[in-house]
Amino acid sequence: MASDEKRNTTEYLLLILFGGCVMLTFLLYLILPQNDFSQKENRYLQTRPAITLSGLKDGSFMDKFDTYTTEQLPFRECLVDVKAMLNALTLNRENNDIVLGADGYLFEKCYGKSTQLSKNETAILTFIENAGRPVTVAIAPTASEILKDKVPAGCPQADQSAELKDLYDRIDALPNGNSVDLAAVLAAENAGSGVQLYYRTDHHWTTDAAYLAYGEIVGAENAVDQASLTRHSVDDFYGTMAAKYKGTDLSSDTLVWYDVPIETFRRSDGDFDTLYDLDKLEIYDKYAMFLRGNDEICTIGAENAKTGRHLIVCKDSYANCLIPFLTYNYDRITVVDLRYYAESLAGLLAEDPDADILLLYNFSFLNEDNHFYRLTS
Amino acid sequence: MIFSSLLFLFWFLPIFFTLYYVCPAKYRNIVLFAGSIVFYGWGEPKFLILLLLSIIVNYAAGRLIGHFTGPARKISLIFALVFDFGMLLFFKYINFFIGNLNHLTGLHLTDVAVTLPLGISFYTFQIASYVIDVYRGKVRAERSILTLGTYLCMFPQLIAGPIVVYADVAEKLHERRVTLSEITDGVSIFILGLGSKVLIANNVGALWTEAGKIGYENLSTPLAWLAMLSFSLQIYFDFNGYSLMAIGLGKMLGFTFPKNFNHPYMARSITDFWRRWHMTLSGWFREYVYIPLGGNRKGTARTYVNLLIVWALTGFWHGADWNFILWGLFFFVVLAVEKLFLTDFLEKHPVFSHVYAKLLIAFSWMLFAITDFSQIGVFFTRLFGLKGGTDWLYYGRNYGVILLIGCILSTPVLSGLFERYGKRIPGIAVCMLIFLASVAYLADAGYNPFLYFRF
Repeated sequence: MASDEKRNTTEYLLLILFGGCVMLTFLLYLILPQNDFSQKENRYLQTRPAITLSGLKDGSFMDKFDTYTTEQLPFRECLVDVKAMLNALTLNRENNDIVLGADGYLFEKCYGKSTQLSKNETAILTFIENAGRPVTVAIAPTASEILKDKVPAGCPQADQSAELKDLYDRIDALPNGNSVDLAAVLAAENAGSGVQLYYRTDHHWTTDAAYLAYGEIVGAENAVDQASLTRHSVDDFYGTMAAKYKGTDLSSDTLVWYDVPIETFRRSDGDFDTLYDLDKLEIYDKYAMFLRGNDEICTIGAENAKTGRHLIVCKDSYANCLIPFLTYNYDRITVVDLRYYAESLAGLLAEDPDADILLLYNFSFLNEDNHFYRLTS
Repeated sequence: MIFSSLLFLFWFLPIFFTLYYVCPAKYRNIVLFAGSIVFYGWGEPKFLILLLLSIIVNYAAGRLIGHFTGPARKISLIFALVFDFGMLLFFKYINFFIGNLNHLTGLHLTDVAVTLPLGISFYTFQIASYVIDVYRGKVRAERSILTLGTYLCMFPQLIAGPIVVYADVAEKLHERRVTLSEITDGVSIFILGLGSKVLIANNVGALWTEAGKIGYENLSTPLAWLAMLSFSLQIYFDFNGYSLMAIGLGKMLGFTFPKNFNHPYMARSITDFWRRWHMTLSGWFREYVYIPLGGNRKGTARTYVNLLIVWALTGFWHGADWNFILWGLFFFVVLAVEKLFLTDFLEKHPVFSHVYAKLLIAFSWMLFAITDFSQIGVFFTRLFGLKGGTDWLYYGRNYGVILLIGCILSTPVLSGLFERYGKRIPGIAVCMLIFLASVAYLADAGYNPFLYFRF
């Protein structure tokens, strides 16, 4: 009798476990509180959508509900780590398209020159031709170019230096074109010193790398002395690539910034008296402290240089940790992010006819972003 | 809705099966029908009308065929078939025909703005089996429209097969009992299918996607071979995974669906392969196309013409593009050669026949996977052109383990273990681990494609 019972439980054990698991998860979806923001992934999460007739009709209710079941799955973060672990167990060095290289460095892949790259290069060249004044272009190579020796052999990457050399040749052939080769100085520094130029777990360069690039852009003799600035740092920085790669075996980075006094800092969300948002150091995406994050347009007024010169920068987020140094060369800096700035750039330039113009981007942004047309529209 | 989603696992399954089991047996078709409508309508609400219309038309045709004698029977049958295949032709193939007509004649007809209703190729074949079998007197015309509707919309096999002919399930549609041990069996088959899809197919498939992103012209020769292996494993584990999930769910409902795959990559000839691959599709073509055309009973020449028709149609069924027809014709040629003289030789040479069949199957998948003819050429140039590079080192390490697991699971070596331990504690533990691992992979919603949108 007892052994019969035992056999019966074993016979249905799978049904009990599977059924229990499915029912319990369903109930937990209903009971557990919903998270509407993921710090770690720095994005909003879908909560349970309300049923509406129009939502049923156009299918948006179903789409949202699908997303909701993924993003509010009970124990999701833990399960995601389990996936990363299982993935690593199969000796796969990639998770969610992020590659784990030597010394804990994470890299993005690049499948070579995109069709977007040619469009963006044309937009830049056209912009220089029509600008009516000198334009400086500085494209930062990304980690996979400078830290080549840490990228796993055979991982798809673009030959950034070759691509950029080609672009710089075309820029320098224009009367108003002026290119700054950042790859050379960064590669030389990487070969020579132990300075960390890129974050291990974030897709940005470090403030030290940005300082080197700054020196190239303004000329070594015009650059503020790094040693004269007060240095601050915070540990335990895990960046955007760590958020995608997941996993629990990554080492953190140190985020560095320098005290830079300013007079005014006008953003679209208000006026501030510092360039850094120290509150961002408390959240996952610490890099967002620089210039307080990306903004369509912001203006910095400073008296560090008293040169009377103005600068207009079109940029991506790489520039956010570099621009503070430029206050030692310019009294006013207008910072434009063309992803969000939809108004006329020509109008903005006409308002400030004496301002210098700088285009400051990283290679992977230049290869992928599709807002460069706004340079010329 | 697809099976390999958290929505299906943790919302649809608990709600639907609770209602289904709580409901008295005689009302279960209502629950199944309603559940299937929700399942299908979730992603494709506008195509529900098409599905419901198909039920009504074929129900009426069935009743008329059953009721009349003489020419009215034939007219009813023809009407139903014209409707069924007319819908399929229109929604799936209209733009293919327009494109080719424009190409041939220099006309500039614009494309029709249609999207392919999910599963139309599968349910069209299923419902056609019903009206044809009623006409042949093989089954009786269904009196209840609900029962026929339940057959046509039944969610397990609605969108990706197996193709269940009406005659196989007619009895169970009217009366079925489901025992706890059948449900348990169903659960274990479902979990194996889920694991096939989520853990193997999605992971090896990522390598095929990478090859596309790198560009076939940039692949080194070793990587081209790895990529071909990865697609071959992906399509098998994906398709077999869906079929297993369908069979498992069918068991949980009280149905027995036919087996759809029988270790196809163990085949030693292409003839053998098609006896093991998507068995319900080849069965359907045999029953409703090849045999009605005369099969092999009308002389040698006619046999080959019949085969040609069947394989061109089989290819075309898989997608409205020339490469699918090429894929079907490739099989016609190989099957014809095997039929003419090769079979005896293959049977005598086991090593050669294994290598021969696996290579041809893999090559055929490249015709299937690459829709652009010039790209097919580029890919085969890379396979045989000897191009060096380091890319294969990187991808070989990243995907080596999962490809190896896929290769091992394509063979029957572990089936014996499953038969033996499947119902004991170790087997149950393995099943639950597969289930949890699958949920973990779905939780990190990355790559989870649905491959049959073209079918």
